[in-house]
Amino acid sequence: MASIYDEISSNKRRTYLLFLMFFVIILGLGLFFGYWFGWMELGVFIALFIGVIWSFITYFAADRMVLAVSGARPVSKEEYPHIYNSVEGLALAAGIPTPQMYVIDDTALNAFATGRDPQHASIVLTTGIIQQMNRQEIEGVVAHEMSHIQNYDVRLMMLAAVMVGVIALLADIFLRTMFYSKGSSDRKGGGVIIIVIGIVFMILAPISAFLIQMALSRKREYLADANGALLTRYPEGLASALEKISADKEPLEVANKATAPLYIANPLKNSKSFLKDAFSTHPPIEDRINRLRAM
Amino acid sequence: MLQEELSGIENKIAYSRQFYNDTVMSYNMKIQQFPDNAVASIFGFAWRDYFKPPAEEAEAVKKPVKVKFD
Repeated sequence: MASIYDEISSNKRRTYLLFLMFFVIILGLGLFFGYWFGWMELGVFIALFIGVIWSFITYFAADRMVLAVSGARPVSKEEYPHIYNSVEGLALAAGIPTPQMYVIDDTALNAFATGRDPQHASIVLTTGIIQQMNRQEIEGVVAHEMSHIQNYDVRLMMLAAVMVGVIALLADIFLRTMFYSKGSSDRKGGGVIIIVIGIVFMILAPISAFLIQMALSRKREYLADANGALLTRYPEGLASALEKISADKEPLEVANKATAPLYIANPLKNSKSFLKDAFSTHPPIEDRINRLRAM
Repeated sequence: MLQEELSGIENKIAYSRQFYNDTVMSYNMKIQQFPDNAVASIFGFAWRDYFKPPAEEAEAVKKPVKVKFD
């Protein structure tokens, strides 16, 4: 049986793997960029420099950025004592420090968690969820978010988002620079194939990074559901909360494509598309409910 | 408000006990599994018991706590 501790260490391994892939892709982009200008070292240097600096900034500031973008405000214990007690209780059950509590003033039903580790984590609920759900359902939702924090999903997802951002940024810079410059003259002959490969690579790199992010986040949702049910010892709470969330047709206006994978259920409510499965950030909600009810 | 505090505290006690028992369970499981059991027996990691209230309080914890609002 895989315990929560196996889950945590496998998530940390995944984080290292993600970092490795990240540097290989960045190195590849840099090499090609250097080749285009006939100065390999410069391309690699620029790519690594931007990659490292940008990752550092985002790693330490991403949670605050996400909170600010989502319009979340911190809440006091006096405002929602029952929510506060639920969060404190479930933090005890998960064995992690109590995360910071935030709310989004919006009637849509949704919630998310963010932070780089359990010591720097935040849980965000919409006021809609607080008003429309009973205590068991809220505890189910909070437990789901708590297990995202406990098994370091928040870090993995944050780094995946950062990685996609950096790769997209670099590919964009390089592609644009190439369009407005002729490149160096000493790459004549046989270079065409490499150029074509390079351009294809630059277009594919951000897309594939994005697909990895989606696949990761879908898998993590099932696990967080299961661990959340283990924390509350009451799967029905989360199941009926998910039922209410799926019945709610109101999109959450403050969510966007970048922050969507963080939420407990897809906040954008965009449904029909033939690429839906490959690009969806969440597993089908009916399937999650069925799995919870079968526990 | 006071009612909420009381039930909140009661929940927190229950959750703390649950966390203790969950941890004991995964610890006991770990020291029985190969290859961890070899290391555990060399360094003397002993089996741990689940949470049990002391004998004189065993009856008291089963009953709901009496609360008086004056």
